[in-house]
Amino acid sequence: MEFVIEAENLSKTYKTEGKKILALDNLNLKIEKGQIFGFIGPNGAGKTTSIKLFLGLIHPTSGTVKVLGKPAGSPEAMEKIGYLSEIAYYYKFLEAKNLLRYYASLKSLSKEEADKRIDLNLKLVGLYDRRNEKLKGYSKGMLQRFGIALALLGNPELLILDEPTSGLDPIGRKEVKDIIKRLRSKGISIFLSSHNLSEVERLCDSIGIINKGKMISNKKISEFLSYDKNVYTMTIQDKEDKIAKLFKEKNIKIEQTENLHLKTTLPSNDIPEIFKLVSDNGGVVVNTIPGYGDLEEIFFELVAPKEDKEDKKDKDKKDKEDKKDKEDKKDKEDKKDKEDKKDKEDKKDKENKKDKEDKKDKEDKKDKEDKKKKKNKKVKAKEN
Amino acid sequence: MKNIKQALIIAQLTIEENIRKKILYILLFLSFALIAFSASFTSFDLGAQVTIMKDISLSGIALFGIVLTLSLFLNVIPKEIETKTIYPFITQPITRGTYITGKYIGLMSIIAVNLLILGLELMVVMKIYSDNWNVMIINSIILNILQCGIIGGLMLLFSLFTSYPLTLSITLFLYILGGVSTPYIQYLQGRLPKVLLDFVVFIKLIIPKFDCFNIKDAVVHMNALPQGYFAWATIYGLAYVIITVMIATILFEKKDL
Repeated sequence: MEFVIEAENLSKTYKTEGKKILALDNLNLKIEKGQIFGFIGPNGAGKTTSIKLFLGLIHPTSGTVKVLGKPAGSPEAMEKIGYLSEIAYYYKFLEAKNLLRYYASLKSLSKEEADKRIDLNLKLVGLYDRRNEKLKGYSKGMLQRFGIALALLGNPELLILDEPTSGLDPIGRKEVKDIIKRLRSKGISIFLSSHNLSEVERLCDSIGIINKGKMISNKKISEFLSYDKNVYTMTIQDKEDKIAKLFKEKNIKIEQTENLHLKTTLPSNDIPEIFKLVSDNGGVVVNTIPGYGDLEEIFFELVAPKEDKEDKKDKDKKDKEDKKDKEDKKDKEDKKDKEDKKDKEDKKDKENKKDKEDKKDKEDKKDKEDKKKKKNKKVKAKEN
Repeated sequence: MKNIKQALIIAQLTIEENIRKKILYILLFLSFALIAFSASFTSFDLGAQVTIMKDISLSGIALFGIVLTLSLFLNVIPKEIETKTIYPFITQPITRGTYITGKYIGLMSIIAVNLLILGLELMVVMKIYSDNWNVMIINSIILNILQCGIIGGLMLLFSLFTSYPLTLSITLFLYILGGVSTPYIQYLQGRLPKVLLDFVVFIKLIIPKFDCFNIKDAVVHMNALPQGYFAWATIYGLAYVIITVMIATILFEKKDL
């Protein structure tokens, strides 16, 4: 069997600000010739690092990688590789046709052949009429299409496409998908990295899922989507919310609820019973799909749960911290209240004491004055 | 042969990219103006006037060459890496050495053409004033180009592993040190700590002797150069250019893009 990409124990560690970051961890990958291989994973999973290693833009920390049987990045390998990057990085001061001529002259193409291919590719991507315009006047979608024309210039055996439909409108996306399908029929192997799972599902023969630098799954699309042939995914219209309640009562797991529809995965034996239950309660079975579901579900099954668990862990930790904070706060408040109360009482006591003292002073004073008055009266009486 | 062809294609594209820079035309205009200005010293006798004109103009051309080299080579590869415009090239069937050589040739071609234009202008002005073609001016310009070639090579090399302010600082330091003649080093003996002096002597040994590319005095005063001096200086300059570009290529091959 011939392979277009062979990676063995491929690892890449980046050093940033004294820290080592493992971007790719022991990747083992073999892609058969003539296949469309879909490479999916969340942001920062290691997709771009892998592509850069296949193209020789970066060097592996350990492991080896061969592309079309040649060392990655060698001119012999690059002769038969077409690459489309996610973002267009071209000299924008040149006209499309002129720039393609420069790139063509770096490949082993005669001038006539290069001109012929340039025209053909520009027509293929719908830019022929604007071939004499500078790239700085191109929209993002047009630049993406220019990139496809460039990737196809050398009649490649392997196309490495990084988000080929990014920035394209629905028509542009369809056109690119059609181009990819056409290229597959010509026997060109395609490595397709994409976030668009439905696009990957529709186009690819095999899929690799990468997460946190590790390849967590690599299978043929048929193996992915017939995950369990005895299981069906059912979408049910549930306007009155009756079926959802019934499912909860019967402990039937609801996977998704959206726009008055719910989705559930069931063993095939349960299907007739559920059909009856749904129709008896005013619901409608919209569809029943054999297999585990679509790629999006499988992707989330493989990638998201770990993140969810971590999120949950984080949430629990946060909840605990919040609870502790609240308790601490409450304790502090109680303590403060007590102190305030005590202060008030002390203050009141002091005030009372003071009042008493004042009263006593006043009374003493009054007594003294009375005594004095009496004394004066007595003196006056004696004098009289 | 294929590599040379590819390097020339990259050089051509580099020229197309850089001839759009305004700084190029501003510097060229200023140098033209300086040569024209030097012709305005009419209060001297004709012999003195020609000498002053040559002196000012050759100094101006040399300065123009250095400033142009610094502005064109500064950050050239790091900028391409940062903007990722390097990707469509490196993913073509070319070696990294071919790419870096192509870039170097392209930028040096711009510098060489500009210096030669100024040299020719000076020659024409000299012909008008002294009624003879002073071929020595072209020799001086060629050595200027070689000097710029070495500075450009050094900048290309340093820019691969340092930031651009550091690239500029190191290059200028080496240029100044390379221009310091041996008597100054002797002067420093006893005035500098031995370790520092040994370091200066070592650096002086490995860095190019930029003063050997300066034949302005000989051109201005119409003194003959020693036998084979021009050929020796040319070989010396080319050797340095090849060494710096080769080291830059080795470093670039190992660099992650």
